[in-house]
Amino acid sequence: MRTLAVCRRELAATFESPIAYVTIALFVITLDGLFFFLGYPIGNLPLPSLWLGEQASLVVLFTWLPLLLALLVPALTMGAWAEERSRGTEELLLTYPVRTGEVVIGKFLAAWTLVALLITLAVVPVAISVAGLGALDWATVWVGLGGAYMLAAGYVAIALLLSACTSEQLVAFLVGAIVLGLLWLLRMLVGVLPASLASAVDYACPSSHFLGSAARGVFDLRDVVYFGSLVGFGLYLNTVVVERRRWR
Amino acid sequence: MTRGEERFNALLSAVLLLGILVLVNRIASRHLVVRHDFSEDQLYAVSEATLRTLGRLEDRLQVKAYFTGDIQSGQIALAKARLEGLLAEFAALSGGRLHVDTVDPNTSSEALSEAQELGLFAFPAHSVRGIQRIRQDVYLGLVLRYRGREEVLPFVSPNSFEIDLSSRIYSILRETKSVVGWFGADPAPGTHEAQYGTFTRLRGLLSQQHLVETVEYLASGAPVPERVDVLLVVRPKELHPRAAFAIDQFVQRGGRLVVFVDQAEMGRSGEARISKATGLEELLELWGALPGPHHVWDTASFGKLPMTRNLMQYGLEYPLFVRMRADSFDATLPPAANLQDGVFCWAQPIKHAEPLAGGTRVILAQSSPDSYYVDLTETVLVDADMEDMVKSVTASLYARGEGQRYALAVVLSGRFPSPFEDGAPAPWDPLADSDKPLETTDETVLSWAADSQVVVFGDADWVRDGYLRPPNERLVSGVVDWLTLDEDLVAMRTRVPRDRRIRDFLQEERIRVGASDSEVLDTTGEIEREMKLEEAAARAARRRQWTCMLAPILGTLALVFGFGIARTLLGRRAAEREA
Repeated sequence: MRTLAVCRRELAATFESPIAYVTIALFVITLDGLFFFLGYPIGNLPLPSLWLGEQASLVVLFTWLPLLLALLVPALTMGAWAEERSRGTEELLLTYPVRTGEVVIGKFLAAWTLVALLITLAVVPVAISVAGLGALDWATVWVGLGGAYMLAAGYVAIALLLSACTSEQLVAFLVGAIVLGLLWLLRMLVGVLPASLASAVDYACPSSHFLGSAARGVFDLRDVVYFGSLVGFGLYLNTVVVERRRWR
Repeated sequence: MTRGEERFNALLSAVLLLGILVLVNRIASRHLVVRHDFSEDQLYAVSEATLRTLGRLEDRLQVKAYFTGDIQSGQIALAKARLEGLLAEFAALSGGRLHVDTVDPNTSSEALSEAQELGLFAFPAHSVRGIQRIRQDVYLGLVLRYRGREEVLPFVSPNSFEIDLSSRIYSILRETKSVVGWFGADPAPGTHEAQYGTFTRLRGLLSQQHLVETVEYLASGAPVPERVDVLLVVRPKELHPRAAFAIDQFVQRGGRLVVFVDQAEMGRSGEARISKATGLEELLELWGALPGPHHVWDTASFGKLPMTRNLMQYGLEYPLFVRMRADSFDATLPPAANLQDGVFCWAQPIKHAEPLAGGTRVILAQSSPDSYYVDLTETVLVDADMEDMVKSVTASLYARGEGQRYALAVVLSGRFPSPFEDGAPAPWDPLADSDKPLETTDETVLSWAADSQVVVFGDADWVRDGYLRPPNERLVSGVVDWLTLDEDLVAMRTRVPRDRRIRDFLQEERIRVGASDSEVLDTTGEIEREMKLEEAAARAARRRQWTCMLAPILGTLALVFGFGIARTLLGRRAAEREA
């Protein structure tokens, strides 16, 4: 209950600020614009835009998600801890009768809900529009959305941890975007890495777990284990970092 | 507890948790194979046909994987890891009957000599270490052994793993392979005809699943051997009646027949020549599958002809390359189910005919409704003017009126009449006077004797080496597998994504405004009117495209900002009430 109370407080605070609305608008316009106009020109197998490819499929939309989320998630979570610290409200928050873990999970749930809502708002209306143009495979869309939520959970856990490590929002954003961007980039570097590293790096890369299965309509329990581990470890470290400040 | 101890405890527990999670993920990645493909196309799930094939294993199937162990290239190491995962998945699905044993030819000289004897080949893989570019010979081959039989896959790729492995398992499960008889032209290298390609790839493709035997003496009238299950007659030319008789009697005995008729010979400059009769006209006409003398010109669905202009290569939209789409095939026929693509080159339309008594006649493949027939002997297509020629021929065809679909391949099933009921033609005598009427013999002639199937294609170029692309491969292998009664093999091959083409707004708008490309425009007024209609259609199509793009974006933004405004107003009202 206390976790949910923290979550509600965080969500309410997010929607107080116009930044959330602007971020949602920018994300929706960027993702949908890329899908309709540009396609996905990165990597060995570039994908054409909807009008050029002429196929009722959201594969381009899903392929852009890991990169765009790597920029969006730090933007939404940068203030989660950093702002509390810079304003000095962190001490106050930690004096409440809640455990640190509950605060961490509450903040995580709030950020995850927001990102999931954003993804839904960016994907579902486009899916409805594309379904009007051709035979869209809805099962792939739903599984892809589920995978995108898991990917977002992993990203949010990492970004929150980085936000907890700093007191400057801008630093939290930059470090978060660089770390998540590097994780996205790793997938493209696998081909040039030594074989001994390639498998491990590919497994460690969140976008591999998303694009390799859920984005194609495939559910794989190994991906659930991976994202569960990522979130669990991220939140645990987040708790440890905040606890350490409590001890000081 | 001191601060230092607390730090140490926190660090230790984090490291322990990380270790546990790494271990859990390592175990899960190897043993937790819970995977389900929810997509409609089911491209990432093991097919029903593969499961049936694995279910037919009664004994131990030994799969020996000749995989290079220490692969330097990251990309290929990943491919190898995927292959190992897929092999483990197959082993699990086989109920313990498929056993995998991996050896490394790069480290074991015994494995290397075995691999070389089996015909496995190493391919060069390049990788970079530091500033050095490393070349490594990599083996990724499989050898299957089952009840003394052996199948070799010299190289496997994760992308085609299921079809490659399951079709080999299917093949090894059979006591004997089906025999495909081959009769027909395979132009010798260096000849004029050879420039358009031989049929080597087709033979190689069929050899993967069947025993392909050349039926050597058929031209002189020798009967088709009993062991032949399916006879392929490729590009027959002026066959002696005795050869036609041998083919006919093969079908009468229940043998299945595939004929690739092709009378067009294209010259070096693109001019066409029509070769003489095939010798099978009487037979095919009687059965209701005679290709006409003309060729199909498809103005709506065509392939591209590679051309060169000013040293630049480009693809000319060429209506004599008839492009097949999903609606070109009869999906009720197993080899055509799920096919979405294919190109016939200089194809002859098969004349309409009624099915034979008690039999069926199904059109396997046909051109688009905007097709016409052309006489290639009149239509001189010369390289320099090719584009203009295509335009002018198309315009002249539009003047004929509406186009229509033409059958390019038909499947006949049932019993067949023999055109030789009055007497079998006498054996071929090279010294006989050609003007002398053909003598007949009193040997027994079978007619309406046994159920069979005959597939006639109005083109042979589409299976030549140069044109045998994957869609064409799927069609021709599917037909032969189907005729050899290997329906599971057909099912494995025809797993391709469904065509999910989006609506063509421009075409819809052109129809709506009345712009038609089937009209010949004579006067300036007509041309101007048509141009205005085209512009109006293009504008309307663009408007609809923008509506499709903006509707989801603006709808979402309206929803989000509407929520924001409502929330602010409600918040203010609540604050006022409190005040």
